[in-house]
Amino acid sequence: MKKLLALVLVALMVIPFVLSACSSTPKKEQSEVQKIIEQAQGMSLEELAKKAIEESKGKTFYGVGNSSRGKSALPVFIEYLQTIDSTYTLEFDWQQPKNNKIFDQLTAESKKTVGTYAMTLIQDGNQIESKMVQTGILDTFIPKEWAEAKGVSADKYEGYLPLQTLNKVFMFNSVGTKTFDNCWDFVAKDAHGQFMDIDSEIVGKNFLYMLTKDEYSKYLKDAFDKLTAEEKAYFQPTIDALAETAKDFGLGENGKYALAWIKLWVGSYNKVEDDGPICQNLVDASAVDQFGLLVYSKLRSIEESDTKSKNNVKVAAYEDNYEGIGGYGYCHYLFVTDNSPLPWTACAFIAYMTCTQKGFEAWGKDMGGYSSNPKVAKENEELHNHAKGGYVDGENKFPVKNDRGYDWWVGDGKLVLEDPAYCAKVAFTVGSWIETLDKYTPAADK
Amino acid sequence: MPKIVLTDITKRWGDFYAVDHLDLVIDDCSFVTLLGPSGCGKTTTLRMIAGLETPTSGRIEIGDTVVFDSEKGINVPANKRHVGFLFQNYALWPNMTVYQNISFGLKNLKKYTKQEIDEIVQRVARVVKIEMFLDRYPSELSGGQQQRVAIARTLAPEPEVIFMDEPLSNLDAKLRLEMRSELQRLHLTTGRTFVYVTHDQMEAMTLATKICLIENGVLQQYDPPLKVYGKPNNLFVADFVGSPSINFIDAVGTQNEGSMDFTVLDDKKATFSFAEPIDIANWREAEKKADAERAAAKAELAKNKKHVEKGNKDTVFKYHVAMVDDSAKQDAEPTENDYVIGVRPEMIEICDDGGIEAEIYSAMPTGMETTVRLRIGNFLLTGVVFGGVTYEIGSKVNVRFKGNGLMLFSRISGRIIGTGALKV
Amino acid sequence: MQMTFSPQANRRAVIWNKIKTFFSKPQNTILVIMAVICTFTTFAPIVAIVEDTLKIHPGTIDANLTGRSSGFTIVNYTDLFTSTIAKQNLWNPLLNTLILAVGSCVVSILYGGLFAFLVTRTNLRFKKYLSAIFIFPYIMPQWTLATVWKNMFDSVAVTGNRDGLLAGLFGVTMPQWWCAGMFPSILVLGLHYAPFAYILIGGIFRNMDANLEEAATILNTPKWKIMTHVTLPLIRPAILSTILLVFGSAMGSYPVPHFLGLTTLSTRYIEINDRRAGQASILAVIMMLLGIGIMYFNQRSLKSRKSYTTVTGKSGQTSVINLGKVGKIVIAIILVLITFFTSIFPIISFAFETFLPNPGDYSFLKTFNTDNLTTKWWTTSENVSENGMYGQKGMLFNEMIWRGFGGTMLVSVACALAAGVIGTLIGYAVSKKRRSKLAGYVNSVAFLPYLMPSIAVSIAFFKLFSSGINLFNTYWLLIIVGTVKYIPFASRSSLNSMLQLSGEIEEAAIIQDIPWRKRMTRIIVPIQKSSIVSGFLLPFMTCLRELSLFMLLCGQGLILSTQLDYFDEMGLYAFSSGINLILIVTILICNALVNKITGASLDKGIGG
Repeated sequence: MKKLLALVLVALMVIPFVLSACSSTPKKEQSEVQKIIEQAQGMSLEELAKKAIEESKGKTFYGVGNSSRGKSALPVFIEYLQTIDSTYTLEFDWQQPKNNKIFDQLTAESKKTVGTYAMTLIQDGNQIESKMVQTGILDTFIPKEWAEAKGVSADKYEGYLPLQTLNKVFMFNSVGTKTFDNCWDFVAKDAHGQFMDIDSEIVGKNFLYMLTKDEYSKYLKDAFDKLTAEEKAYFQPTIDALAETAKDFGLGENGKYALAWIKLWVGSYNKVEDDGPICQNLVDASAVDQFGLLVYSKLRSIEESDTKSKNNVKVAAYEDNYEGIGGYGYCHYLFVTDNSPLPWTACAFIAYMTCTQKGFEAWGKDMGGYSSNPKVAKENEELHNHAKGGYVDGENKFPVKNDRGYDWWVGDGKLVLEDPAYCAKVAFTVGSWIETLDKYTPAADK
Repeated sequence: MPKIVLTDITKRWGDFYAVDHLDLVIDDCSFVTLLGPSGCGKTTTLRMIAGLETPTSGRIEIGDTVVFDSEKGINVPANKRHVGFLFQNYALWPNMTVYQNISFGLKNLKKYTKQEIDEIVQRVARVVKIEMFLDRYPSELSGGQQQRVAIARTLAPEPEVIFMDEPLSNLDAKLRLEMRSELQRLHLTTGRTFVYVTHDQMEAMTLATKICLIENGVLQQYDPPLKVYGKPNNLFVADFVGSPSINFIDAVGTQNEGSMDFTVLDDKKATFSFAEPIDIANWREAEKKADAERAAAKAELAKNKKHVEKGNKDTVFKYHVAMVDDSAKQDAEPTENDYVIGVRPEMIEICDDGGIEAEIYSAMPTGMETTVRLRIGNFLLTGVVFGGVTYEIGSKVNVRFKGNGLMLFSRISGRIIGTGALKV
Repeated sequence: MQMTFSPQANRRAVIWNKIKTFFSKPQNTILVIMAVICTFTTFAPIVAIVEDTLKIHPGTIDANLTGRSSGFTIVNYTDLFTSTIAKQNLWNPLLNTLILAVGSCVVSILYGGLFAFLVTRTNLRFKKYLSAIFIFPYIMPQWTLATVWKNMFDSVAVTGNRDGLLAGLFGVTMPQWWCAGMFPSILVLGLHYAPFAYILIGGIFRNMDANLEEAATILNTPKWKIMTHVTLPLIRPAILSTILLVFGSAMGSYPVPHFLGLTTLSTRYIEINDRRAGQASILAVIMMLLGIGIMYFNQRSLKSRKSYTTVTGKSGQTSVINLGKVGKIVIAIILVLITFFTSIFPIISFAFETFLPNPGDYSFLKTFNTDNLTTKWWTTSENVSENGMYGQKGMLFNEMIWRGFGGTMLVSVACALAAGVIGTLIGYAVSKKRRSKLAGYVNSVAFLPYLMPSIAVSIAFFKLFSSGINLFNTYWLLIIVGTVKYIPFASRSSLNSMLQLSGEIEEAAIIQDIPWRKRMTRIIVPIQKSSIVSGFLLPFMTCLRELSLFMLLCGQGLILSTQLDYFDEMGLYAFSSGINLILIVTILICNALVNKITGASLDKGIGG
């Protein structure tokens, strides 16, 4: 038995090297799907729809995504196609893998000549860039109408196609007296924000990466300048200590402020397994002076009761005298898989979701998610009026639910936006540095 | 009709030889008992013949069929050997009634109709007298009844050979005696070959037509019971068979014109005269030659790469000489002049003209006979006197050795030299 | 026989004869087939994972360090073991894992063993109730106790998120070490696996010949000496088996340390997987090695006991220790209280949760205002996205949940049947050929998947079945993986029972030329019915609530446990609690049904 085990183990060690001979390398020339995308980018939604009907009638469409709502969007899309060809049918299946598995799954799928999934809806720009785009597993398709609405041309556009931007915002429990009027308050002494662990939700890590980008570290610098001298004195040593590191990483002049904020945040946040519980925690009357960084839309699920109320929390950025970053915005991106079995249908579906309000409805009915297509965003807001989401029977009952909209958030709200290329660039400088930071564990504190 | 032949059968686990190069021929219709102390390999032998155990090497034939041959790779599985097997713990199927237990194997034969099966079950049940229990489950029966069910189940398919593995050991003494005689009757009425494993020499003596005595995996003697009793091959056999046990007397001396002059029981002079004349020098020569041959054969075997040295070594049997005070005993290396005389208890006669003076050490009358222990100097001898005789403990008596059946063994090899009479 | 063969033909005939003889015994055939199957199902995943440790993953640290985007490298090993963050990525989690596993073993053995002793050997009251209720924590998904713990003890003052029941209602706050981290993790896992100890150790206590202890009592041996010299050595094999099972499971547990904020190899695996995929696989390999190690240790400890003969005697009676008039009731009440918190309370809190307006919103308990309760989670019959329904219909009308329920039943039944049959056959064959190397090999290899952390197994199968044959998100994949993982339950319970079965029982049938199939179906299976049924029941129950094993292999909708996790993540705690409730009720009904029909039950379990 022991000998056998040893043998097997040796075999295990050797096999990979043998296998390495067979592993493929990404191809350089344009793939079939890329050729189709090139044509599709010049077509209108209706033309695409016809192509899709031709291609996929009676077949099964497989999609995979981080958001489960692809499943609700697909039937609406099929209905749309049926308005063009009433005999059209399409079976569909929408999968939502757990954790980070979507990347493994797409990687595994990419080894086949014809894959299972026609397209994907995926988040985490950093990993998309390094694991999916640079490896040629996913292809970007830019719908003509979308480009027009954005005022760009489809073949000149660089970057990915976002379906929507979601925001994670700073919220705090307002039952007590403590206020948070500066983003540095969240990393002050003895402050412990509730946040999903950056190792369990990776977009959280991207947020930290993005802080080091010049425009966002400037936000931090500006907010820092507004602090009182006393407050500054607490942060200054940390900032100074990191000046050298910032230079090593090739960050801009304000890079040290970003690194200091990151270090203090990582060293203080109280990890919670999900944004849902964070929201539940904060709205509780007992959670005096607690705060967190969480997905804005989680508020919609709070039911009023004697101990929990949406009025127990405030959105930091909505406060008049608030200084600094209001939260983090990240995207759901849409891609066609490079071995898509139904590329035309995939393109048509993507165009439908990004160019029509109906296509976006699955997400649009909720606050905190903003279509990347300004036209669709506008139509959606007109329909759902999230700006007055807190109104009940004409009365402004829950002001925190009045979503001020994408434009406000990226402007006055000072939302930090995810930039996949930038994330990928600093992933192994800032990213590796973050890994070495000591995280906060409540036990060690006592 | 089947005759079972075992040729050079060996079974070992690692270097433990359970059965060591055993040759055995079991004649048709015989009742052979495999006898030996526990762990001697007798059950293993039985299981190998039945096919429940695979020998390491050798060859087994049942009737005209070779059922096992290690060299040819033949191994007929147990179910194709068409034998019956009676297990020590009966191995009744607890989830079936007595009727089902007996009929289960028959149903499977497919050659009987339901009615025929019923007839067979009724018949064998009658033979072992369990007709009234057919609907019961084994757990609802006593040990003796379970035993009968097991026998009935074994008999039902009418096997040519029936193997029994200590079938009576779980019964109480009275029941055992009863079953013993029933088994004997059964052997007669069925006319099958019985192979019977037991460690109880009484059982072996009373039942068998031939006893196969095994010790440490090695065949010691294979003879009819009375021969085993009267002319055991060696000290071990002599000691193992017979109750009360045989008396051993150390003897030192030389041959003197046919008979032997010995010093026995400390200082007594005695003469041993052979029943059939034997020349000790010749006998010793022959023994040496046989030993040499065996050693050569063994050396030949050892050359084989696959040969494994026997871990459980064979040793000469350490016989026991009964003494009042054991502490003075010293074990000197035996020489050619050292012998052992075996005296069965019934060969000791208490009579007024006996040449040896003895003291009654203990006396145990059963009514039918009395077992007496006699003290001669420091030595103790066991004798049997038939009839209801009582002795007073401590009283002096005279004894002598009667008959021509006393056994003379070589002390070096433990082997028998011959039988004869001893005069003190 | 003809002796005129040419030597070569002769040899061929001999070999042919030998092969024929070998396969004429069904146990040999089974062993060979199982050896092939188990070798594949066990080693293929290991190969896949080990390969992964050496592969370059684009977009991760290995690609960054090597500057290549494909091919093979050992940089993952050097980086994991030697880099500046080796301590936080490897050594600390490893240490925590070991402490957690050992601690869980200790807790489960002490608690389960003591409980087993009290139930089987004393005149404790309420035995029947206690015995049934005791196994509940095992039936429930393991993180349920962890969430109950958090709901109970969290407080703004200490853990800093919100007040739990104790803090909210009574203002009692517990210290940090009590609320999160190692202590509660050990306790929760220990409680979760204590039923193993109870089942295994209790099995021996129940069958143990009282004479053994009585003999010592008569010799006037002091009670503690009897305990340490007679009783403990007798239950040693059971303790070792418990260690094997608990250690293997606790080590690989993901949800409990995750919820209670403890970093172990399995949580670290998930955490570093995005940037250090290859290194994460090394962690999985380490977990597997730990599993193999503990098995090796276990086998060595058991080697001296070559004979597995049942510790059952003729008297068949166990002596009952008198706890005294007060003792038997007081101890029983203490146990009733403890089991209330471990077994009943979670169920009540699940049920309660499904009527709360917000997760963990216990306003009702403070105000007793029924406005603070709702039935919407059950009865909403249309898609509503407001009020926290997230576009889901109420549980009673939710097709997805009931489809998932169907899927769970399908997977569980299929796994139970497949694992049960295969495991029973393995147990049978191994018990028949106990001394042979092949049997030892099959036994070990079939057991290995159990010791590999669920997550590792699941990753391995994901890697295996997502590229070549795509079985991702199919019931097939779940059934295959579940079967492989749960064979040990069945093979152990079958092996134990087969070893207790005297070989002569079957030999008696062989002699009568009764074919193998009939021997199995008419004799062996009926006799060992109850423990064989346990071999089916245990995979069934475990499968019903399995998450770690399945979560990477399918989308959220396929089975209930992944839905549960999905709803949990979404924040629909009412739904996840409701599903929990559905699972528990299902298991209880099944257990009761099986018990009624076959007389076997879970608390007989692997102990046979």
